[in-house]
Amino acid sequence: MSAEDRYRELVPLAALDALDREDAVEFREHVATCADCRAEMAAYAEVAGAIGAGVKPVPPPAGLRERVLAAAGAAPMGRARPPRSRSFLWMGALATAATVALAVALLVTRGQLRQERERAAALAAEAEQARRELADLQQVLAEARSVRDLVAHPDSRLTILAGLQPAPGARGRVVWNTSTREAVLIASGLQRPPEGRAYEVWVIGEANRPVPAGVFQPAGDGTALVRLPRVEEMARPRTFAVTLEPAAGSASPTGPMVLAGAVS
Amino acid sequence: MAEPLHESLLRRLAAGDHAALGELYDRYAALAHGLALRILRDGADAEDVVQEVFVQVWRQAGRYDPGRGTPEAWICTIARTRALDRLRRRAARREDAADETPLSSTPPAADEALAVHSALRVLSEDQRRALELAYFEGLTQSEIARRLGEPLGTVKSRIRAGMTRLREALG
Repeated sequence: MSAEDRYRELVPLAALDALDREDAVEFREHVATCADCRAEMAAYAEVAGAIGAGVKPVPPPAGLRERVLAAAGAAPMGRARPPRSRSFLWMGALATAATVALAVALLVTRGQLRQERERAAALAAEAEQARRELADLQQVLAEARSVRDLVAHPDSRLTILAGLQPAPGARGRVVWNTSTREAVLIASGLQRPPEGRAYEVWVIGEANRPVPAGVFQPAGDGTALVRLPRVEEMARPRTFAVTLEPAAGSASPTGPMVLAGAVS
Repeated sequence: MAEPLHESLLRRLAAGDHAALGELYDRYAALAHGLALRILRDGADAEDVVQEVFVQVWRQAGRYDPGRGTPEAWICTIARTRALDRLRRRAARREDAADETPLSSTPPAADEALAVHSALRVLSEDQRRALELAYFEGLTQSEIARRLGEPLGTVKSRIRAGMTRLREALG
C-alpha cells in the first residue's frame, strides 16, 4: 500500500476524531499538503455531521431559553480563545480560517454563567430604579416649569409675607396671577409642625373672608414651594396668610398665624 | 448549502441582533439538546452544553461561513465538541475517585432508544456500534478496540466500511 493510500484510509477515522494521537498528528501534517485528502476529509466530515444531526431532537426545558439569551446578552461578541479540543486535529487539516473558528473552545463555567445572570438581574433592578427616579424628576421639572411660567408671566405679581410672632424667622412670598388665577407660595424658615398639624394657606379677597388655599408640610430645611389652587379670590386678593392647622386642614383659620402679607 | 433564511438569520446574528439569537435557539436548541443528551445522558449537563453552544454561536457568528455548511452542522459540531469535553472531564473525575464505577460500564438502558435514527439504519449492527462509540463517546480507534475486545485492525476497517456506506446512503 502506498503512503497516499494509507492516508486515504485514515480519512473516515479522522472525520470521527477517532485516530490515535500519533496517527492524528501525522495525518494532519499530510492533509495540510494534500488537496485530495482535504476534499475527502470535507466529504467525510459531512457524513460524521449527519450522525449528530440524525439524533432525535429533544426540546430543552422552557426556562433554558431565557437563561441562554441572558448569558449571551452579557457576553461580548467576537472574542475567541485558541482551540484545544481533539476535534481541532482534523479541522485544522481543512485549513481554512473559518473552519478553525469552528473548533475554538471557550470555557464558560457554571459559576461564570451564574455571575453573569446575577449581574443581569442587578442591572435590571438598577434600570427600574433609574426609571422611577426619572419619573420623579420629570414631575419636579414639570412643576418647576409651571412655576417659571408663572413667574415670567407679564400679569404676575409678587407679595411679600412676613414672619409673625410664633415664627419670627419665617419668610414668604406669593407670586400670583389675576388672569390665570395661578399662584405659588415660596417660604423659608418654617419649623416642622407638631404631630398631627400642618400649615394652611389662606387668601383674603374683597369679601374679607379667609378662603383656604392649600395645606402643606415644609421640607426638612424649613423651606416650602406650594402651588396654590385656583380660587376665585385670586382675581382680586388683598391678603395672603399661613396658619398652623390640623393636618387635614380647616375651613376657616383656627390656629396661630405664622406668615402674612398684604397686597400693595 | 445554507438556505437564505439561515443566512439572513446568521447575518443578523453577526450584526449583534439579540432577537436573531432567540430565533436560532427556537430552531436548533432541541437538536443541540438531543445531541448533548445522547452524549452525556444527564439533563443538567445537557442543558449546560446547550447554553455553552448558543453563547459560543453568539460570540462567533461573525465568523460563520454559510458556504461551508448549514448552521445545523455548525451547531452539531459545537454541541458535540462541548459535550465530549464535558464527558471527558467527568470521566477524569471518576478516575480520580477510584471506587466509582467507570462511566464506560454504565448500561445504555432505556435512552438507547435515542440512538435509533435513520442515518445509522443502513449500517450493520457492528458498524453502527463502532461509529456510535466514536461519535457519541469520543473514543479513538484503539479505545473502541479495547472496549469491544476486538483487534484494532478489525475495528478500523469496520469504521471505514461504516463511514463509506453512510456516505453512499447520504448520496
